Amino acid sequence: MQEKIIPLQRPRKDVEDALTDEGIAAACGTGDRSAITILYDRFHQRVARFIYRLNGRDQVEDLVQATFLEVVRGNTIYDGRGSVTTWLFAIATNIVRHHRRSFARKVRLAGALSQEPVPTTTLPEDVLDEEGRIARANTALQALEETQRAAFVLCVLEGLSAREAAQALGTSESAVWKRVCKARATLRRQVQEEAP
Amino acid sequence: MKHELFDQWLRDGQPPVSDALRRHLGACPRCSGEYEDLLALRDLTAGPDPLLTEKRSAEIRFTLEAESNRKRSSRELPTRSWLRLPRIPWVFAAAAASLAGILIGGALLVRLAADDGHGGPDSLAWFGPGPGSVITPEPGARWSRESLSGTELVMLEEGTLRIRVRRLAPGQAFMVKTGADWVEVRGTAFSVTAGEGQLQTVEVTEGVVSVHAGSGSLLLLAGQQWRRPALGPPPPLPPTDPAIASGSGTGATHGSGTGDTPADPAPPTATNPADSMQPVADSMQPVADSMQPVADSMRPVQDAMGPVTDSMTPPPVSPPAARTPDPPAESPLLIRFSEAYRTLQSGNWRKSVTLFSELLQEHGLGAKRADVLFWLAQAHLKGGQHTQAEARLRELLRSYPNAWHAREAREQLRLLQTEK
Repeated sequence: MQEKIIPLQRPRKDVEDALTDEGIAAACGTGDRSAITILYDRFHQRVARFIYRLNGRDQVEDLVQATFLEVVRGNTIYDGRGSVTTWLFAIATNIVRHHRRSFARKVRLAGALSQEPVPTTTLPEDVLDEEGRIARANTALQALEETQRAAFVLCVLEGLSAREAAQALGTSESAVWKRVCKARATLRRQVQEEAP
Repeated sequence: MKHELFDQWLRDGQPPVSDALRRHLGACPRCSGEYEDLLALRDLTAGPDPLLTEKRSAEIRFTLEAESNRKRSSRELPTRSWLRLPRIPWVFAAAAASLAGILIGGALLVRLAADDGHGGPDSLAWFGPGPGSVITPEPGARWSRESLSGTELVMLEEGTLRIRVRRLAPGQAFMVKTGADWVEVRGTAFSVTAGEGQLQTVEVTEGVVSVHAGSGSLLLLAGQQWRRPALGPPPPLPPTDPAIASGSGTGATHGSGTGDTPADPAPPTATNPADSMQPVADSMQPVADSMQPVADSMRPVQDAMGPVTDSMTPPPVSPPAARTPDPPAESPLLIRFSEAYRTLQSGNWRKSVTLFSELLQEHGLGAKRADVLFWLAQAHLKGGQHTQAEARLRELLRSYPNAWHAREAREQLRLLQTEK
């Protein structure tokens, strides 16, 4: 059997608008190309913002693409539990986690090969006070333990409820709150300690 | 402080609305301080929204679509979804119902084909172009079938096939190829025999068939038969169906009404060709019209091909074969198209661009020119040559605004313009 390139046939705009997020996400599980495109158009900015907060500015676009590729490849199928946002955030969380581990391995390898100090996240000292506080907070956020950072971003920055964050992270609500609490304490301490 | 009290605020991203939380925050300076602290941390860490640029966003969308196409074309199935299937109870019932439907549908299809007099136990029905089309191979026939972008290609090595092709949609084609010879149809019933790597006989019972053998081509109408000129010993004739041998013109060439065996004699009602040919000829007139581009491009050379004999009463249509000079000895257009398409599918976009571009220079492509333009654009897209792809897509939409791939061409043009 020869391969065929099958044309994309996107529904009309009015039909597209009438589709629910859940319906589109379910259709993505069947390999519907139109649904995947619509899903991307609806959620890519929010996923990009989440990834930016979770991982920083580096490679946001690539990680967004990797997140939606997971959907296209059917590695993760929406099962109707929780919202589509939660489902996508869960995928993005895993993508970012794998990316950070891979990046950390590369940094270690590069450090071992070059015998040069691994770049740290110390801040320049000449930054202005407010910008410095923002930079310190973001640096501290990125320096948080992975699970704490994900819980903090989901609950505090993305506005998910504890139940939704627990679904995205595959843990319990109480664990989410503990992580948020620890993350908040760590952030507050670091921002205050490093303040001039 | 209980962080669960922040839940509502966190979910809605708004100031606290819970009366309990508000009261508690007003009464407890420590919690109020923590709350303010949390707001400050949120503002500090939120940062700007990293809006993806429109160009990068379009690139990602394009990648997703390409990946989706690749996945579908390679028929990959998500493994996890299969693992989940056994957990869903109704899947078994649905699978059983589907299996039963397939079996019953298959049985009905065979029965319908048999009732129509065009099938038999050895018939092969397929769901490609022209649903209900049937190929009935004679014993000893060696053949294979390939489906390419709306073109059904039957490679007949030896023996006889009796074929009924239902009316094809625009852009679809059906071909039987033996060595350098081939037969093209658009909706007809006929039998074709091959031997020694060449076409030997073609006998048409319904519709129009375009025969391309050696250096010439001709159109055969219903009731006409073509035989390869005997250069040496005459080619052995196939064991023909009595219906064909008797000149039956109803298209019931493949058996009796029940169709249990291909060799069943034709029903008595099918032995009056004059009565049965008129509606057939009328219904096939659009087919004859659609074959005109093929006839024009192939320039029949009847003398070079050999005799055309009427095995039945001549049909009430004009003689098809006009005499013209020999055409250049070149591969058939559809074969070349299939080759270019296969090349594109194999990933060699550069060669497929060359092949499609050469094909585009040929005259007589007819409606197939739209296909060539579209797939040439796809080859350019695959190679990242967006400007050339855009030019081809525009040409396609300008020349064939109602082609079946016009919609996708418009969508791709939109994406390309967005990317700019």
